Order: sequence, then C-alpha cells, then structure tokens
Amino acid sequence: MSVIQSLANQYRSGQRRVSDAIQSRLATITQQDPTIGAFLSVHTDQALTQAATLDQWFKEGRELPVLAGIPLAIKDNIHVKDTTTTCASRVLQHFIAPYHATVTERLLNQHAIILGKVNMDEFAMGSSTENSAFQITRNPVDPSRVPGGSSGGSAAAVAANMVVGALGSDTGGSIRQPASFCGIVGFKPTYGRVSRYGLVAFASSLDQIGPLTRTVEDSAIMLDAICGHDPLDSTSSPHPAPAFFEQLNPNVSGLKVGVPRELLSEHVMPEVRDSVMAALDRLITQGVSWEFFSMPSLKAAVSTYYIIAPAEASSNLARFDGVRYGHRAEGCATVKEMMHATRGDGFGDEVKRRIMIGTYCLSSGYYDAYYNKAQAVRRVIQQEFNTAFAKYDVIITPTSPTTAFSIGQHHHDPLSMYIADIATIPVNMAGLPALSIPCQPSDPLPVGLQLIAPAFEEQRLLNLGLAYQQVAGWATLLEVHNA
Amino acid sequence: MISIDELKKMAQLSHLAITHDQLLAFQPQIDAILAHMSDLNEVNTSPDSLTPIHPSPCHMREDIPLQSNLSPQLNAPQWEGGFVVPQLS
Repeated sequence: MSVIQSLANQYRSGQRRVSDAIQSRLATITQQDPTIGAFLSVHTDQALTQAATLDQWFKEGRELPVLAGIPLAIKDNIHVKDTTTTCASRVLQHFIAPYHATVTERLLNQHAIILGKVNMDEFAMGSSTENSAFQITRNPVDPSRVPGGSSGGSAAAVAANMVVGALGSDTGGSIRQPASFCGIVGFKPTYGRVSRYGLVAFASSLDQIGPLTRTVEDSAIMLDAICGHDPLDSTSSPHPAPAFFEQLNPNVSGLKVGVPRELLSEHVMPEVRDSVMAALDRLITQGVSWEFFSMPSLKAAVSTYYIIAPAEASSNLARFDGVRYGHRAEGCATVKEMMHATRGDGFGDEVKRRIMIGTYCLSSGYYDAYYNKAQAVRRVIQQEFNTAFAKYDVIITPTSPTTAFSIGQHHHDPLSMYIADIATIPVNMAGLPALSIPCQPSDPLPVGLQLIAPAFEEQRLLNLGLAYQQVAGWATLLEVHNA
Repeated sequence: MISIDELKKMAQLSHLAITHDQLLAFQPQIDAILAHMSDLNEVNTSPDSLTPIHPSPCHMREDIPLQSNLSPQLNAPQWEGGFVVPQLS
C-alpha cells in the first residue's frame, strides 16, 4: 500500500490535480504547523508553480516519473538552491544555498515537489528536536512529547500528513529514532549508498541521508530516486543501486534473524520489549526464525560514538567562523575576537558542548585514551556485526529503548539522552543499512522495530519490512497514528 | 573531575566565546559524559583481538581538482572582490 503510488495513479487518471493535492497539503501545514512546528520555511509559490506545470503535462498525457507531483519536505541541513539552509542554527540563519544537494537534484529531476525545509536539532546534534535555535517541534501523536531527533521536523511533517515523504540525515539514529517516536517508516541506507554532496557535514564518517515515509513501499520509491554513485562525493559507492521498488517481495520465508540480548535488557521500557517480542512472533508466521545472541561491545557503543562524532564535528564546524559563512558578530576589535564571538553567539549549548568534547578528545594529552581507543572499539563493533551476519540474515532490535519522552525531560541531563541512542548508534559505526518500522499501535505511543542488514543489502530490509507491514495490519496502524 | 580551567582551555582551542555561567553549567555535564566513557576500557582492543581490515567496498575516486562554477562570494557574509576580514587592531 504505497501512498506515493496511490497519489501518482490519481494524477494519471485525472481523478486529482497536482495543484489540488499541493493546496490540500499546504492547508494542512497552515492548520497544523502552528502547533507541531515542523517547518522552518514553506516554499508555497515555487510549489504551486511547479504543480500548475505538472497539471498541464499530465493533461497532455506526458510520461512522468512516479514521484512527479508528490509533496515532500527536506531537512534543513540539505541544500535546496536559492533557499535557506539554516541547520536550525543562528550561525546559518540567513544562509542561502548556492547549489542543490545531489539528493535534491535527483528528487527534482523526478518532478517531486518540495513544500519546504523542516526543523531539526542544531547541526543534527540531538535526539529530540529541542535543540533547534528557532522552535521546538512536537510529536503529532502526542504534542506534549518530542518527535525524536535530529530529523524530528521530517518525521513530524510526515506523521501529521503535511507531506507524503521527507528526507532526513542519520549520524547516530537521526532518521530511525524520530520515525520510531512518530509511528512512521525511517530508512538509513548503507554508508556511501546515497551522496552526501550538499549535506552540511556533522560527522563525515557516519552521516547518511535517507527517507522518512508512511509505508515501506514509499521508502523504496524514494530510495530508488536518491541512491546511486555521485562523482561529487568521494565516499559515494560505485555499487549499482537495484530497483528497490520493483524488486519488493514479501516472501521472507527461511530468513534467519538474530536479536542481540543486550538491547532487550532491563534498561528497555517493558512496553517496548513486549512490542518487539510480539513483532518477532508475528514474523514467525511468515516463516522467519529468530534467536538471541550476544554483542558484548554494544555496552561501549554510546561512548565510542560520543567521542568520534564530536571529534569529527569539532573539525567540520570549524568553518563557521564568521569569515566564510553565515552570521558574523559585530563590534569586535580583532579577527580572533570576532571568530570567538561569532561562534559563541551563533552556536547553541548542545553544539558548544559537543565541539568542546571533540576538542578535548583530540587534544594531545587525551588523543590516545579517547579518540584512538574509540576507533579501535569501532573496529570491534564492526567485527561483531560481521560475525553475526555470518550466522543471521538480519538483526532485529527495538529502534529506541523508550517511547517518545516528554518535552524538557532530558534538558539538564544530556547524558541520559545520549544513552538512549544505544540501539541505533552501532549501525552508523559499522556503516550498515537499517530500517525502522512501527511495531504495533502501542497504547498510547508508537514503538519502532529496527531491522539491520549487511552493507548494501537494503533490499533484504525492505522485503522483511514489507512482510511485517502486511502481517501487522498496516491500515490499522495508520488509522491509529492519524487519530 | 574536569576543571573550569580545562574547560576554558577547550573553549579557547575551539574558538568559542563562553561565559563563566555557561562553563559552570557545562562542567558537571561534560564531566558525567567523560566519566561514562570509561566503559571503553571494558572492550578488548588488543591487536590480536582484531581481524585484518577487509578492503572497503567503497572505492575512493581519483582526486582530480575540478573548477567550481560557484563563486565563494555566494557564501561570504561580506565580499569586496575577496573575503572581507575585519582589520586587526
């Protein structure tokens, strides 16, 4: 059941005009976004102009790609030419992107319609979208709770039906965890599968762009559009991308699944554990077998991430110095003072905290104890995944040990929020693909199921996700999350 | 515990203007984060515990310099035929 394909069919049959569909989504944004706070900018004029052109083309009977006229949103750290890319930071508040990111260009080549740029934790640093310099985004399922992060704006916009799909970026779980909290589908592709050209870098060895959608089929359609080699990104993989949507096949009988017992420990909320166990039972009915196994290095995954990612961020964010990009502090006597003041004014607390941690871990007295050790542990994590995949086709975990938490709950204790990334971080450490799909309509909050596969085995995840979607009764899930 | 002086030094190295109040707020938070990182030592990373690295499936392209058609002026906060840098006092 693809929302994208259903809308595309309506356009082709003349049952619906693109302009009407876009007007309807814009009306939903006007109505709901004052409460939800998903959008940082809405591109009304461009969207309506593009819609009118597409209506004419459909009328003329032109053959157009499936994404033609589909309303999408883009996380505000991905460039859309001639519009602001703020990264939800005061440092880039008025920065206009001078070029399209490769993913943006690929979506626009398919005539998708970008309705706007969506909120995020500043520079993608956070798990709640509370760290934006401009606004807090609320979870459409329960507005007193966070939508997750850092792609919280993307997840909320999809969950609230403001758009059909959105792009996010995932450095340690930033697509999957908000998808889990908002009851939608989030896909983090293999590192290198999707070009990062035009994505503002946070931690370059971990960052990856991916889609957030309502269904697995929609995720496959968006992946088809954005995957593939890009000469503009030197880490882009030359692996040819398969036609994911065409090859979707829910027959997963015989698949072997491993479940790391460390990720269903006593630290996981009972309702999350129960939902995951029920999901595993459902998969058995599809011919899938599963068993517990152990990944001992997982206990150090969070520490490893919170050294490597801030270390890379302290280097990547050095460019925001008031000389070459964005905001510049006024009234300073020297260049050094101007740089310090620009960064001091421009960055929020979480970004400053991580830059300082990164600088600390890279400084000469601590480099071996922190950064080198973390890189070695990263190798161990990768090794443990390799060992697991010699035995299992897919690894399944909860996406997050908790459901969506209340706004402000972790405000004074960043470590407690970091620790909650335990299930998603190891995937980025090993550069693997992972899919988060809603487990079941948990009362009252959604729970995400994370499926992890070996590198470049995205199709396996989509097939298993589709099988689960069918057996879980997706229509019921969507109704619950729309309520 | 990480000291305020160490944090000041990190802020300097990071080119961040940070107030004393901010440093006081950051101190226990960063201290808790660094203390948590001690669990790295529970993982055996001795050379004989690590298998040889497999060749990456991602091949780096040739590093060929390309002429960008974008002017850096488009990014700059201030531009007068070049980046304008505030004059040193």
